[in-house]
Amino acid sequence: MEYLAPAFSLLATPATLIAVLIGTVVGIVVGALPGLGTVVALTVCLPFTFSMGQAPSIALLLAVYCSSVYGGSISAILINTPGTPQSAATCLDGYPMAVRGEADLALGWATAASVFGGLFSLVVLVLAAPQLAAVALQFGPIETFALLVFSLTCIAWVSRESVVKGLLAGTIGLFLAAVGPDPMSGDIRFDFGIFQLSAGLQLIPVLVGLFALAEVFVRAAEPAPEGEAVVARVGFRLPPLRAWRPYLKTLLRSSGIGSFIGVLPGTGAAVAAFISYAEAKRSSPRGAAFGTGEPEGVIASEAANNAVTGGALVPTLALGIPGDAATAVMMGTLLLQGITPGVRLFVDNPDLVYAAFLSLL
Amino acid sequence: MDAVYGGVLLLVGALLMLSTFDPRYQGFGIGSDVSPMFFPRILLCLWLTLSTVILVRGLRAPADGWPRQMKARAAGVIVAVLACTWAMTVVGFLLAMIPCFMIVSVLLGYRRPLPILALGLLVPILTWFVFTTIIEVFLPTSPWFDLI
Repeated sequence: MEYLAPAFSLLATPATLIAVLIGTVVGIVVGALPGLGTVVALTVCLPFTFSMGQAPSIALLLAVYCSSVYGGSISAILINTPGTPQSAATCLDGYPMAVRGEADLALGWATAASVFGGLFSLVVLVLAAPQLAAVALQFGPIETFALLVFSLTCIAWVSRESVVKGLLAGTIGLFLAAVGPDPMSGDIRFDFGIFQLSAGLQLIPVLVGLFALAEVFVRAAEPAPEGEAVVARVGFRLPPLRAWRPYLKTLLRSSGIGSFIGVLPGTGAAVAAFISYAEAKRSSPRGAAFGTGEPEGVIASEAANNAVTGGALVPTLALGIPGDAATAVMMGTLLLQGITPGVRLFVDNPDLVYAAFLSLL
Repeated sequence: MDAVYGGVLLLVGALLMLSTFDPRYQGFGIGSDVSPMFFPRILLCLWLTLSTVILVRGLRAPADGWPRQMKARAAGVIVAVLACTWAMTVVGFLLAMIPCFMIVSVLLGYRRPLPILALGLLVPILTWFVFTTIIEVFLPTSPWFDLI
């Protein structure tokens, strides 16, 4: 708690506050545009952090991260096309609500659920991250190796559709890390006489190439999506407080699911949203109405996908293992700013860590 | 498509494995228990095994029904991006990106010439401007002009 005051002073500078504002706007806009997504939003903002200080750059990226996840719900509700993969489950009930003329209420529910999910996961982050970091300080080489093997086995866990492809992707990733100087002997491997490869492959260009260019290639390979115009009352209407009561249990459960799944390395918000939606449909007395414009479906999806944001930062900050693709890009930014996520972050840069918590708030 | 992925990755993996036996690497790791090529060879064995599995599965699977036009479009975009990447090292970012942007727009199905031309000029110039003058990350320049 003694770091809250210096963290607040880091956050309360005009540069940081403007970064949060700009990041929020950019995140919502990019998140709402189908086909771009959270990772592209982060990748676009990443170069701007080169000339920024540590606190503003972290604040910018966290703002983009959280707001882009929410922004995906706007196009999911209005045009039945999720702006981000995390908002795919929101289409199922958000769009029917819009067709019924309740687009403003659907957007209100999505906003309220996103805020609740984000705040819930922030509490998880504040409570769990230091505990995890305290345990992580006890880690020796054996424990670190076990953690690495665990994170790599997550590749098999999340690529259930094709475990072989997932394992091959992981193998290629490990091989790319072998390009350049060997950390033990200094001998240069796989440079093929190209001078630029003699220092190895840098994380940021590989991340940008992998995610941004892969998205371009996938879009080129897919036919243009067909949609129909929706005549709906587009606006924004927050639900009244009394309307929350029937959905409190779903709100809490979905936020818990999102936070838990976010903590697991190698997963993502899309997984959390669908699991939460399925669980809400199974357990809700209004389960039969899911898919026809039931607000609880929007709540389940949006609370979960925004709860992932804080949860995903737990392994990223405390262990140096990205919780999802977006936190992998954020980790690259932290490294560029001279901050090494992992076991010593809470010891070496506690004010910066708490500033990150406050900017999430 | 799995057969194509598997085949290409198998070929690349085989070439990389072959390169690990290059005479240049024979002197590496003198005094160490293992050569620096030990771990990459383990990874490449895994790479070859997994890509073989994907290739075999791809050959045995039914046709994926992916339209030929989509495959051609995806291949065209990949080739255009690779060509643009190479061209950037020769003629600089701006002179490479302007035609690349227009070509990729046409490949993605856009056909109205005015927007393609306008955006093909505006987006690369704006990107170059933001990177060079605002955030001061200098992009590759051409051999003929100092600025671009």
